[in-house]
Amino acid sequence: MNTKFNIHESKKGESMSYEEKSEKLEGTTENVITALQKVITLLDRIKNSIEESSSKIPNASIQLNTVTQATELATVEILDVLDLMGTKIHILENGMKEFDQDGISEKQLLMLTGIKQTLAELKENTSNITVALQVQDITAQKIGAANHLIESVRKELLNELNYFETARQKTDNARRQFEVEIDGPKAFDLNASYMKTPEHQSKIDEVITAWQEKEAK
Amino acid sequence: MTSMKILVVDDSITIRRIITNALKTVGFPDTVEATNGKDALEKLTNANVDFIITDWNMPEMNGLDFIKQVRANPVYSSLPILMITTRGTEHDVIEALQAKVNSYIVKPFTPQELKEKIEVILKTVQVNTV
Repeated sequence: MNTKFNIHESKKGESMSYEEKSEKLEGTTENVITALQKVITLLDRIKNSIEESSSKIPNASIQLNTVTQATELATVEILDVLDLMGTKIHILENGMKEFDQDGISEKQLLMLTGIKQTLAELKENTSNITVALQVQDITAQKIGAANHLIESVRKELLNELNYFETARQKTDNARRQFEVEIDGPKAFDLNASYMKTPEHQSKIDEVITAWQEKEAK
Repeated sequence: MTSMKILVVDDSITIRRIITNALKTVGFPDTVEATNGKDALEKLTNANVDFIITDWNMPEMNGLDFIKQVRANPVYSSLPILMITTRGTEHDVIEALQAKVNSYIVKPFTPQELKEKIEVILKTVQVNTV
């Protein structure tokens, strides 16, 4: 036994007594235990942190879906109003056509032309608003893409949690809950953009023309 | 105004409304709507559709798979199809053309663009039929 401990000699080269060696070993073991306790505490903190973070993600996703639903609802309401405006403009335009222009003064004729012009402009304005409202769909796709990324992060976190045996049951429950709660649109274009230039469509038209010419040959 | 019935396929209610409104203003008031490719295939069998306008990114069945199914069915294989989507890369357009889409518009679009595309498609289809 003593021979075994001979490697642990003091700096002075003197052999340590059995008691000294036992004491030193005890101290080392205590240090290891303390370090392990610290690691366990740290792992526990990490586990709790992952659990807490992953439990917040469904709420973030739900919030994002709520934004999409709210903007969709608001956009449809705006489209309803635009529809009504369109119908009223149409009625007024038809009324103007029926208007008997014979015998009216030059001033009245000018006013009539002005009203017709304004109605045409209003029609164009409503059409422009309708075009601009396409931004809702484009935004919804961006939100869908962000939600997909969040979902991926959450799944990764849940996988990490599986390493903690005690958390396994919780993780499985959380995953099931997550799959139920995240029910947003699954189809999206990550690169969807509202900034479309006339050149962009022209380039697409060129591709179509080239393709059709190739097909015709 | 024409009596042509157009099937509008898009998962976004906003876009379906915008397309049907635009179609109304450019002289195509007769429309039928579907929310994805699967729904559109069902609508195709029930409604007498003359023209299809479809989105690409949709849940359940996307626009590209829908077009492939339409083209694979001899009853509908010659139906004109216009794709309106946010996907705007050259690769996307070629993939859609390979699936035999007649034309392609990138969102956002104007009613005028829509009208012009429909007219060009109809002209081409007529020429090919004659």
